Amino acid sequence: MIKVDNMKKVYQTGEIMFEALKGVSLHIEKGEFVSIIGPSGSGKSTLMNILGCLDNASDGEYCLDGNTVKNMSDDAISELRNEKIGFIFQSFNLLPKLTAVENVELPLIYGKQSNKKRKEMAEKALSLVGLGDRMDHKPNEMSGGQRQRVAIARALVCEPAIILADEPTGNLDSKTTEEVMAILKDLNKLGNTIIVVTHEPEIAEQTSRVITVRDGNIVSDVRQVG
Amino acid sequence: MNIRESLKMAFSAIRSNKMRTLLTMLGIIIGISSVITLVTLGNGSKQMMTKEFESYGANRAYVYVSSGEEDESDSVDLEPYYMTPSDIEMIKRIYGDKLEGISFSSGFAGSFVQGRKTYTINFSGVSESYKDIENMTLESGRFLTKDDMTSENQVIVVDKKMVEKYYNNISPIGQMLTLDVGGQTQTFRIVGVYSKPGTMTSRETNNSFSVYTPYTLASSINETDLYSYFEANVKEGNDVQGTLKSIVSILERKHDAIGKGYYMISTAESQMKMMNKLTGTITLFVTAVAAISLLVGGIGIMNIMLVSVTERTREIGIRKAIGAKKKDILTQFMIESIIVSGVGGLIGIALGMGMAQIGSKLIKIPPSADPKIILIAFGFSALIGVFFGIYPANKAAKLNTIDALRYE
Repeated sequence: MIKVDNMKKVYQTGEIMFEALKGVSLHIEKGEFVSIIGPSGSGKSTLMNILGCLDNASDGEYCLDGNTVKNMSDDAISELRNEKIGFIFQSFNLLPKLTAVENVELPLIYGKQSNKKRKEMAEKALSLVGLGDRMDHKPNEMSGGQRQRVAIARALVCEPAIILADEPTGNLDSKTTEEVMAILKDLNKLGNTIIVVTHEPEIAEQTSRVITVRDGNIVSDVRQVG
Repeated sequence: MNIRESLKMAFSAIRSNKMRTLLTMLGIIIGISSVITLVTLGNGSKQMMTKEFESYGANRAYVYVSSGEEDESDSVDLEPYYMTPSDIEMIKRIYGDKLEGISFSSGFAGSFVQGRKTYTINFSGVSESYKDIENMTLESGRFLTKDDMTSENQVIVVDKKMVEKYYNNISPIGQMLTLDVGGQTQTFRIVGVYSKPGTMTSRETNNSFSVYTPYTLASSINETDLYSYFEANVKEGNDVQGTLKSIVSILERKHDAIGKGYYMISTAESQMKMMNKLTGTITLFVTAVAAISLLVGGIGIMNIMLVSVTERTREIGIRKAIGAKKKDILTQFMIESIIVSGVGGLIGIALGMGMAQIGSKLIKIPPSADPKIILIAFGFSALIGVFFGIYPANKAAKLNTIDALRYE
């Protein structure tokens, strides 16, 4: 599903060069529930951005579901993101003026779905995360946990190859954190490939594979029985 | 993404910033509405003028004697060049077959008091052929005759309006009208009644009327038998300007004024052309002013779109992250700016039509809305949206996704 080979990422600000990723190789299979853990500045966010096709690697190969990302056009990458990747962000990143169902529909608008099917798919995704009764609420009428569930629904509505969650519980209290993690686990059981980026070991513990990143390198890759 | 979705998005963005959008539209509204108002009024007055020229007679012309100098002190004694009845006879002999009619025209005024009202009568001293020059209908009685000219008969042909307003619609033919002309009491016999198609520019009021009388009589009242002015009507199918030029050339030869250019020609045609040139100039000026206002309006739109792009950086980031292509973002912002300018244009058109309606009532000309101008105005306002929307929309589309997502 995901194949990363000797990936490097160098940031340059003026004279100063900073190597965020120093040659990372990674293999993630379909249906895995992976967490990438590391302290801030370890390069995990950079890795996440590259895995999410939001950023380009400076060097190395990245192959997502059979697509080599290198040298793809901007539009092709947008299409790839739309079809293959579902994002869940720490700060939810919902559009405040749209209702829950409209937010979930958004990726489908940029895809190739017909109008009628779109609404159906969005409603189905919202029901799946337990928000069947909150379809027409706007984000500011919902709690943090509910907002993140809308974001999860939005991430999975396109039936992506991978779901990328960047600190999905960073803004949530422990009770809602449990709820969100439970949903992610359920989604994984349904066959979704999920990658969670976090700095909290408690979150990582709940996944079946923990990849630890430090100073731009993978320092450990442990599979555990969840 | 389809256009319908883009429109929906653009409208929801506009809805959430109603006041700002309205203020942004204002420049376009003012520009478009002023163009529509002025063009509509201009068209109306042009149409009215054309109509008036037509009722006046398109083949009419007059010749007058003038030194051409504005400055009186510089002017030469023009008396030798003034025209006489024999000149007219000569012109008739040579060019009679090309002319419907030719006549001197010299005026004087008289007045009389009836009850508490003072009536003013404007006399036009003309020849018998004046009925073939002026676009008039003889309602009853007769027009002036050649005999009236030679005998200097004290006869007048009165306006139908005078019959309606002064004689209470009772035929005045045969009645005498006594009035004061330049301190002397004169009596005229009414021999006919004429009517003219009503024109907007006629200055007739309820106690001021126009009548025709023999020019010979006018010249004896004015105490001169020299004329500085005659009117002619050229027969259909002849070149008005050319015919008048030939007439002037024989007048110049007869009065020994070749090359001096004392005989001026004015044709209805040339006056019409002058009017058209004037309205053309005004239209050009108005267009220039409107163009400036639209330019300013367009810059306003660009400015507010740039603000909008900055405000919505995060939204753009989210949209791009979940799969919006550059083209999608570009379309979204372009449509928004086109809607702002296009709706501004529509409001401007409506407002302009309203103002033209009011304006036309105030200055009493029929409004004439030109659908072509309205279409152009709308198209142009939308075009402003395109032109001034491209830069902000392109800026939005080119935003880096990660930076935009992290933007606070």
